[in-house]
Amino acid sequence: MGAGPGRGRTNSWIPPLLLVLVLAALSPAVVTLPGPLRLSYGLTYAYLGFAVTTVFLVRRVTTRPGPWLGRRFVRRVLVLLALLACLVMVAAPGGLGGTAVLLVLWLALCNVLLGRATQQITAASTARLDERQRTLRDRAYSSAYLLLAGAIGVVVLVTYLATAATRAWLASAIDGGPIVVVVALLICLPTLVVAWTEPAAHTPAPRSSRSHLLVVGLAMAMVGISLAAPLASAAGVLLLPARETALTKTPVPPLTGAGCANYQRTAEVGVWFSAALPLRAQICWNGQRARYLWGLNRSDCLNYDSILVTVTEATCSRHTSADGTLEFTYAAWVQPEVLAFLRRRLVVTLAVDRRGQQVALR
Amino acid sequence: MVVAMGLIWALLAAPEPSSLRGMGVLLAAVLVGLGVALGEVTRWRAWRRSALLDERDAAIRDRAYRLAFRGMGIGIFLLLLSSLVAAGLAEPVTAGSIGSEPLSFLVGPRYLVALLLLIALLPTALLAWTSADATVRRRGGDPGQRSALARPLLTPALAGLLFFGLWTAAVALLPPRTARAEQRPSLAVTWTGADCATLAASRELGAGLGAALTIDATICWNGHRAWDGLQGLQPPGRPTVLRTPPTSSCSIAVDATDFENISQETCTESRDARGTIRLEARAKVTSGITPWLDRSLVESVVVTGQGQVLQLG
Repeated sequence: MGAGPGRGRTNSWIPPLLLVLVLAALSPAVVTLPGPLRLSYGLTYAYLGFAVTTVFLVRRVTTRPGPWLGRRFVRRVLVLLALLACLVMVAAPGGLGGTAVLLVLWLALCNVLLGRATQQITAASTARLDERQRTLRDRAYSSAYLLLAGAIGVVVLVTYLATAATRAWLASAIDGGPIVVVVALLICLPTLVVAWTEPAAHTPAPRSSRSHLLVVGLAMAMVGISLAAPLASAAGVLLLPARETALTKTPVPPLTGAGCANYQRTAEVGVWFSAALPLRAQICWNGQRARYLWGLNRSDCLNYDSILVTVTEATCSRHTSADGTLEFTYAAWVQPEVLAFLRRRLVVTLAVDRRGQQVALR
Repeated sequence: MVVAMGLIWALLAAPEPSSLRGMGVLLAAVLVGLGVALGEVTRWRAWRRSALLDERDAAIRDRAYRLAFRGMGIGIFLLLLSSLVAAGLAEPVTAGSIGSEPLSFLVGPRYLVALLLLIALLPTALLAWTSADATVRRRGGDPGQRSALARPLLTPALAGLLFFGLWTAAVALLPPRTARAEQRPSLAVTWTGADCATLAASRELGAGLGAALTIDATICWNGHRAWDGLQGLQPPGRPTVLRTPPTSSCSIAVDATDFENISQETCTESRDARGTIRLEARAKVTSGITPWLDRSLVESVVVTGQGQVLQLG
């Protein structure tokens, strides 16, 4: 494909450094958050910084298409798969929920691969391109503009005028999959055009220096981590064992009976993508039975904390056994935003006997 | 001219003023005229096929499109932001979305027109902005001749007039669209010994390109007579208000008055001897450019004493 873009300037590291500074400035707010969320928020910030740094590193690296991405057929298949993902996000009735995150990740991967296949021509500055590449880049933008503007114009006009239902779809599209597709195409459509139209690379790639290979390898590894991390964390919600914090018992002045105390426990699952079901209650006992004062009603089963996880169908049950033991169970289904078609049950329990002691739930 | 286009587009796309009072079509016609003028200046290079352009012109055009692609992204973002701000600033058109059909839409004709004009005119505008040698096309003879200036002035004016004519015809010929919504039982009020429902109907002229009129009413009935559940003709009894009701029953909301103006809106209540209540909203619709041409818009809600809705919209 001819001479590729040269090295990026050193000041291209300034944006990710600025982002790190911003994230560091926000860290005190993260530290003050309650326990289960603090780690997840911190990991979210860390991931954002890592992803942005990855983007800048990938754009900075001079690459050759390689034997596979140099083939026009392979590039065209990737373009079609990317457009298929866009079509699914636009046309899915009722939205895709967390599955849309997977499609966005797939689009990002296609953009990275096709960017490498086209040697980042569409993102490179004019000074780094030869005359042929400049012409190719500008022509790609011209075609991309006509394609995207035409599609947006036709879709918006037709859906606005057709029926009230299509107009309602248009209104909902503003905060749904379609607007995500428009943003994604604004970023990657010129690259898709170049990848589709350019002929296969015929010139063999020259040997690269070891340092360059290391940088390329690091960039690709970071891309892989950026794409795999959300999937792995979502899988962790489903596969990792749930954690139940130790029950804390804080005595309070008794209102009636022999004693009262505040009990607190939390059930958590996941790292980064995570959910927590908190349980807080005040229970009193008189040696014959334990009874609750607050915290064990149905309305108390609506509290939960989650990061990138959906908590649904919360249920709770309360029961006093014949020996006066009070038993309470709070359960809910948790679904990671990514891999939203899978879910698991998260349960937090509490059982206090007639002497105010915690016992195992029967 | 490019700066003027930008300013007019910004006025069309801005969340304030909330209503252009029918002048939106004038703004759009001016934009079209300016776009045609710039097209004449640039010899329509932005829209010519590559085969008809020499290498230099093709490169200039493609460079303008590269800028236009990014400009389109910025423009779409600004339009989204503007529409969200406008939706936040606007009073509710009606009792929100009741029943199965929403009656207020985030996308109005103003933003539709702004988006379409953006993507249609942006390449020509940027080509004119970046071209170093844009000249008025001359048909020969002295530059001072009136004929050399006639086309650059006449063509944009005709284009603007044509746009206005097409828009007016479209609003007149396209069928009006009515959306209806019903909420039973009403969440706004309950009456002892009676049932209540909140009814709303919205009519948009020109399939959404013209003005819109919405009527919103809470009606109660007891098997013998129907009445306005919030105010108006009421039988004895004590209402229980469950939540903050609309400011008045038989309320009218006007919407999408950017390209047509609505005035003289009235809402009247009446009840016949059989206990059937009729609420009627009327308004006069005029164009901002031709205010002497007007037509009436009527929306009605008719409910019997048994709760049967005879007319909605």
